[in-house]
Amino acid sequence: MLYTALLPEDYVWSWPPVIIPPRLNFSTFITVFEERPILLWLSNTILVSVLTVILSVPPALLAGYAFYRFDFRGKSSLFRLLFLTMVVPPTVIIVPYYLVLDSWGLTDSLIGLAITYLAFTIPTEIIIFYGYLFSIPRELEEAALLDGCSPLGVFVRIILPLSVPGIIAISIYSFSIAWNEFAFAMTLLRSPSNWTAVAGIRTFIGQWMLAWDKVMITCVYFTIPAIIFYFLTQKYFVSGMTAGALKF
Amino acid sequence: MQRNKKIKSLIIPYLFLLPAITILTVLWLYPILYAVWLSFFNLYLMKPGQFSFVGLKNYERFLFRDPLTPIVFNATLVITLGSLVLSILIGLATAMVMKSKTNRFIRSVIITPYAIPTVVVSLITLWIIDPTYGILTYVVHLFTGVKVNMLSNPTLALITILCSFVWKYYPFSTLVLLAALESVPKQFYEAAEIDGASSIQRFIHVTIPSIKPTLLLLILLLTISGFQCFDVIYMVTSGGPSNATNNLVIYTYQNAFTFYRMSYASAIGIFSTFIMLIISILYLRLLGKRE
Repeated sequence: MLYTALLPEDYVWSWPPVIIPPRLNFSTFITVFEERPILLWLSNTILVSVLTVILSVPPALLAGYAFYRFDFRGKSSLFRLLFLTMVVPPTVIIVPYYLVLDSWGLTDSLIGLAITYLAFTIPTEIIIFYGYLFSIPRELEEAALLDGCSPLGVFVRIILPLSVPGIIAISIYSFSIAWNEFAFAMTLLRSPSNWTAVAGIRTFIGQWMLAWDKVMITCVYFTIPAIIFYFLTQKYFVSGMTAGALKF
Repeated sequence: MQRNKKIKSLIIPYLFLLPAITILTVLWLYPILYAVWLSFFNLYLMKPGQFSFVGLKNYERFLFRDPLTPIVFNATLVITLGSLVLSILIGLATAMVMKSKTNRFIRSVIITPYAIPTVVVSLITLWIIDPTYGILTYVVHLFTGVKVNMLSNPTLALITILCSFVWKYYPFSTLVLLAALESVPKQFYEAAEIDGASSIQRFIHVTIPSIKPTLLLLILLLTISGFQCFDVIYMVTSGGPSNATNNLVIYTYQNAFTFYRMSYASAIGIFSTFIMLIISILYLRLLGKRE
């Protein structure tokens, strides 16, 4: 990818393909910014991803704790319902979203897009967080309850501070879902100024079909943040994902 | 006082659940019910104003009268099963490598595809198979003297889709299987070694049975994700050539946003959800019985 991005323009279309380019071309790195609003798309993506995290994590934390701590009627069937959400293909929900969000004035809006992601991120976040809670010793909660703490107090004062790694794991999970999501972003966002990175990059097919150097350079711009983010958070990401998969 | 406390403890769990349940009811349940409702009508955005109840007609049309239905089912089956088998095999192989080599660099390289956005994976695929300038085209040309166009042949297009889909998602199986492999007690292997088991025998009689529960769940998760394969197909082939890679999910989307047959698309979507639901429930039942 980097390799094609650096190829001088006249070598991009060479046959046979050159293995070691005779000279490197860095100008595409700059010119691509003049042709497409790449920074805007990137900041849109970041905005949607952050919004998704902010909106989805708190309800998931509360629900995950409820499943872990309390026994109540309908608990097991509700928990099973969480898994059912995975079975429904996102494309089934796109049609209703498209029609309903339109009437609510939420199509072509980044907030509207972030809201649609809640339906996919919250159930998995609940499952991951539920699994995480088992690593917290129960005695602490019981001691706090004896001291006259309310259930919400226990949750806020004892559980939340102890489950920071779990909270980070589910934040990363929902962030990466929002960062990568494609079908909703391209359907619900109409104006190019609202596009997220994936929705924007899609338009390269067709228009820039042959300009592989430009396509690849944009790919580099969109991938590098994802990879850096991924390696910084790998520890949490991996543990969260496997916990989520194994617990169910 | 006592009664008050009892009522309180009955209500509290639901209060904790309330935000999540509210959000999921509005954003998940409501859209699905809306789609079910829509599938009994004939909403067609190309004919504004047309909106009347047609009963099960959309389902009947999809199952018995649509000439594309068998092709779509075939593509769905091939992509789901193909990606399932490949992901398990590659995932298992890479997990074994990662378990024996604790080298962080190798680990990172194996997992990297998971960090790359799917759309970028699709673009890289398109570049590799570019019929005029692609690397793959060049290599094939070197050996056969023919310039292949991967996307003009149904079988080759399916292979292309499978390869890029699996390349992106195998790290998931790797990570899940690695976690399972690392939890197998070392003594099992030592005991087998003392008994004179070869490495293949150890793999079949120790490794596989120990990771079986994880493996069985992974199969279900991969079946679901393979069934829902959308991004790669949409980007690379859009369902072509001649619908060879048009799976249920793509066909649903096509009907909705290319042909604007909203009701028909909903019917296909609800039907595919129904299939997946039955498969998952039967599979989980089977699992439950065996354990």
